[in-house]
Amino acid sequence: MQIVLLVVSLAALACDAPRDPEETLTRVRRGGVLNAGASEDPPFLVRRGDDAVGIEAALIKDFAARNGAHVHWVWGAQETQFRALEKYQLDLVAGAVSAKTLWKKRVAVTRPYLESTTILACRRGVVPPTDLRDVEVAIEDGDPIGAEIEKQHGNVKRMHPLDVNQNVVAGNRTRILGLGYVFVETLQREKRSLATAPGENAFLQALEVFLAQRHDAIANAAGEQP
Amino acid sequence: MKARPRVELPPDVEATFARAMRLEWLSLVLMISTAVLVYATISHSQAMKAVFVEDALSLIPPIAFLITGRIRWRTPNERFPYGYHRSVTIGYLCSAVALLSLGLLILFEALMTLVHREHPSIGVLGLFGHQIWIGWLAYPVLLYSIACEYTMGRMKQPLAKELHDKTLAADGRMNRADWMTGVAAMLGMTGIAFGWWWADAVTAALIAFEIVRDGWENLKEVLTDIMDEVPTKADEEERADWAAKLRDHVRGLDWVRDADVRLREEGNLFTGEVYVVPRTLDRAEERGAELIRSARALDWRFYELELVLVEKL
Repeated sequence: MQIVLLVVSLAALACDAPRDPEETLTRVRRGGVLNAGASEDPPFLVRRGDDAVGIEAALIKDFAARNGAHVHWVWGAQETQFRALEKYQLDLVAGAVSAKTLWKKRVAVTRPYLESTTILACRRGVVPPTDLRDVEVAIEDGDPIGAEIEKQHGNVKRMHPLDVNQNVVAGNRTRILGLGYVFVETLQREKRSLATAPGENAFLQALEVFLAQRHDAIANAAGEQP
Repeated sequence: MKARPRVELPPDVEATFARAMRLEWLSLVLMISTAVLVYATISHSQAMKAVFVEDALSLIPPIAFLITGRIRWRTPNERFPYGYHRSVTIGYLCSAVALLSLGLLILFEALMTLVHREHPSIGVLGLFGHQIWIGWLAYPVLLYSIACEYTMGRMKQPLAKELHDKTLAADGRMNRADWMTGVAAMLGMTGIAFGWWWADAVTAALIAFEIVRDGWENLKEVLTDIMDEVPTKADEEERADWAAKLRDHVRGLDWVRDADVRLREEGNLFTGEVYVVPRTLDRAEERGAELIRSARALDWRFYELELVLVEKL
């Protein structure tokens, strides 16, 4: 029992715990720079020169600002970014990072900050289809939702960029509604997260607490259910 | 085929056994609750994972005891003329193998974590509107687990001794290992909080080592039981002088010139042969039956001893 008491008092002493083994949070706060690996994921994360805009971009900038830092965006291939993150060469990786990413075992992944949905929608004035069989559904080229539409025997029309002149479309809710389409039904859900360097628990805690505070605001901005 | 008779337990042993069954039910419920709580706070901690595996494994001995508790006293029949006592040994074997193999698995994982210098990431959990680092939640959970394991272990030990029950004894020992594991995991979690990433894996390795050692000891013991080893003590405090006691008792009978015994364990019971060089064969059946009866009076564990009359030992 003495050991237990010792452990508890040690824990109480650790008032600034948990700490980062590689001191990420301290470095961000002292140096004023947060190195974020980014890849485009409209409308959440969109590149504007070296800067980024979108809901996710704004979120990361807010978090950095709260810690007295600005974001240094590093654009590139996400696989490379994850490898850099694993070796503490980046502080964070953003851009459609799923809560279930296969990198989960090797880097830290935050709790989902948003459950984004992929929806089926149609142009205003078009009668929504009750069944997708033989219906032409337009999607952004490369959107994995194509598989679901094929499964429901719909005809997938892949295009880039997805425009506003299609009768029936499928894609990310925030984006599709932003194009002026009318919601028909939810096809899939995806939990969105951010990735941080492995074991940097102070940084992870600070980020997760921040994301929890912003949870409802993010959902509102994305037009999703909180 | 002549089956063995049903085991008649003295009323006090019967009562102790019933108490052990109730205790194991309680233990099962408590262990499930700790396993669930620990699972909720694993996050990416290797040490917490080790604690979870150990908690989950500690369900096996109570389950084995509860299942074999229903089977072992069944009346021997044509198909199983020697009765069902060996079911206890099977239950014991299962828990030993589970302990050993999972212990090795955790040990391997913990060492790989150290080799790869993987840092455990532990995030935040929302609880009643508060955002709490999961590492802090691990403390009350581990304290609860330690309290359960400690009490259960302390309660099982005397019962295991009274019943000469090795499953129960192994279970009690496992509880003891488990609460020590809990303490180690608290130290590991404290290490993580201080930013010592290796503390977690080192603790996990120590815990795993303890599980492996426990599994190995149990496996050795159950294998020697299967090999019909002479009865050995189930608990450290138990006295293992049953053979000498029986031999001295038989040697003291007036019609016995010399005697020796050959015993083995069957679950809670001892069985085997009593070899007697008789002085006389007068009323041999009557005297033989009396000898077996008096042996049972000596210790309730003696069951179905065979009297063998021999010329010399």
